[in-house]
Amino acid sequence: MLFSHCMIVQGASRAAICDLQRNAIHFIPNSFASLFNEGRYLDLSRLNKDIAPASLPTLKEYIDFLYKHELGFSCKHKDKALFSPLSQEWIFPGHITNCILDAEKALYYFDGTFCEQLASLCCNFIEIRFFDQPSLTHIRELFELINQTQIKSVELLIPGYDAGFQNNMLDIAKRNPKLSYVTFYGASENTQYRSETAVIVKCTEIMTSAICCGIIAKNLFVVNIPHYTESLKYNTCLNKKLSIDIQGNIKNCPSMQQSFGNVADTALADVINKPGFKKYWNITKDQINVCKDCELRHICTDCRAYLEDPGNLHSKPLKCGYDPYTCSWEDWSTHPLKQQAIDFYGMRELFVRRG
Amino acid sequence: MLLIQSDHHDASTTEVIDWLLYFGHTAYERLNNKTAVNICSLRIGGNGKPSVKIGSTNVNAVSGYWYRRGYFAPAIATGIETHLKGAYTYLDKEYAYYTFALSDVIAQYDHINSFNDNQVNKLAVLMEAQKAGLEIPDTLVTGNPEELEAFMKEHPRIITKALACSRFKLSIQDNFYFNVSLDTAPFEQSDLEQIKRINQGQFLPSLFQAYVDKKYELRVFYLNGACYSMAIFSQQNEKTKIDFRNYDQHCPNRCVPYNLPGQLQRRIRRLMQKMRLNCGSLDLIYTPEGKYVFLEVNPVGQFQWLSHYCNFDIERSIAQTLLCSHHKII
Ligand code: SF4
Repeated sequence: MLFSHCMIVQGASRAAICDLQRNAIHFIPNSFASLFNEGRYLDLSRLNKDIAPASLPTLKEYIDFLYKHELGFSCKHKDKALFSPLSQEWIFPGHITNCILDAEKALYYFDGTFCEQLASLCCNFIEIRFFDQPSLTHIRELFELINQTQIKSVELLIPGYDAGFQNNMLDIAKRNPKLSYVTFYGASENTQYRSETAVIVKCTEIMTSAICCGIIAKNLFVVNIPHYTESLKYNTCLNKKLSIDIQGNIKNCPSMQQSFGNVADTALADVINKPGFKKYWNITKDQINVCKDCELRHICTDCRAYLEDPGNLHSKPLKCGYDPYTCSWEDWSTHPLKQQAIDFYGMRELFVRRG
Repeated sequence: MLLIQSDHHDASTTEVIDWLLYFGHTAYERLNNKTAVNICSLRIGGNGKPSVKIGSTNVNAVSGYWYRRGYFAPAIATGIETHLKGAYTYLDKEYAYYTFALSDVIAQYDHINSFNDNQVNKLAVLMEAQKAGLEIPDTLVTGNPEELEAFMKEHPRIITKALACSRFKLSIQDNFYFNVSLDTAPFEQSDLEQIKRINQGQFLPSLFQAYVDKKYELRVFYLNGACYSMAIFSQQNEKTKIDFRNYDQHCPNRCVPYNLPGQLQRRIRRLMQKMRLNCGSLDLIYTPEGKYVFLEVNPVGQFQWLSHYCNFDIERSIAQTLLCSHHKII
């Protein structure tokens, strides 16, 4: 029997066992996956009778594989009912899970009233992305406000061209434990380390606008219970997300076109009840072309802003290079079938700069 | 108004409060760590029920109370503390009655746990558990080496654990102390020999228990009759146990939701009612022979990991329970 947080997800060509407790994925053939009853246990006495003797050694090999990775345990028939399946409910106490705030150099609207608005939405996680270098005074002021609120953690994406600025930022991170993640882009090296309270990432890539978002890559997979359960019913990128682009337009996601008002004159709580704001929240991977055949669909993030076929709401994310039919990864940006969409979103420039 | 007593850093408290806020309830007060009895008042007699004030909050206006962590204690001026150790002990005792009464009065209102639940006596619980029909390990409290020796003859493997507290602070000087933790440990024949040899058989009374073989351990969170249960597979292959660095630091063992048999749930309910506990965490063992053995109940134990590993909605239930009592009053 599989531990109830080890979930089998079948794809077109293979299946994945998502180990939601140890944050790992293991691949198995679909033929093995389909032997599980209710997707969670193997009836060995039956299988030993039903399966052709020639296949038994292979079956044993795969069962050994489960033991080796501690994905399951043996149990008597009558004890099976003691092990309840994991609840499929996504349990989350908030109207908004996270809020992305984009800025050129400053978030001019971020004040006490704005924080209260976030509080009333129970939004406890914010991500701030500066596309140009802000002043240190501004950052310090932001944290003075944030420290007085219920906000639990803040991620910052900030230019890292200047070593002096980087050091000052690290000092700010040290003094403000709510700052849990800092990414310096445009830095001279690619490094990552963990300070006492934060993860500090430096990367050489350059982020000049929201167009840099939406990438699907192996290291971005999330293998845990909250993500998995959310993916069963909701869109893992856009559900309960709120963002404000550099012009102050309130959107579901900063990369999207549709704005629901400007932060200067619109209350956040009003926005989330506007028709259309939640349009993407319930689009699950099971409804998205290609993704619905992918064994990674419940650990993958999504993107509805940049699509392979921009005219189709249910099209696969443009920036995914995975093919679930062949189980292989390719560079999405050079893929011949994606060139039209890349032009549609005006992304050519992005590749030139990055190189 | 809801009153929540806890510690600064208790994440579970914050999560329950997140739910209260999500349900639109902003009227709550959170007391953290030490609540000085100096700011409290207790009124008995006069007209009506005894009443308590904590600071400016009149507990009569409180519709629900959740005791999670933290404590009531006197704030004693440092002068007394450092120079008159005897006086300090005296004051501690003096105020124990006060905190006990305070906690009792607060518990007249709808509540989940109370400060007094910390006082639950492990030995009394074992006796009540047995009465409630739960199986318990054979237990001996003694300071007599012969009794112990006889007990060890009956049980090939035994363990020893603390009678009351498993953690305490050992002060060496005013600003210098050790945090001592006394976890359950096996007690072997050689330990007995050592006691006999070194101490001429003299030792302070201690608790000994027959070791119970486990197929898996069970952790049950109990709230007003409901049991949230989790099985912990702690007996897995030693070899694979080594590399835990990539796994969760807190519990490398597999933890999964568990369906407690109905009869066992009824017995647990009986025990908790008898102990007058409406909430607590229970430890049990499921033996290779298929028996359930009750070990202990921690009235204010951790439940965060149960929710986290089993996708249970414990925090939401606590919030709802508190809000229910709130609506009853209004
Ligand atoms: S096809 Fe790509 S985007 Fe879709 S689920 Fe699979 S990895 Fe994710």
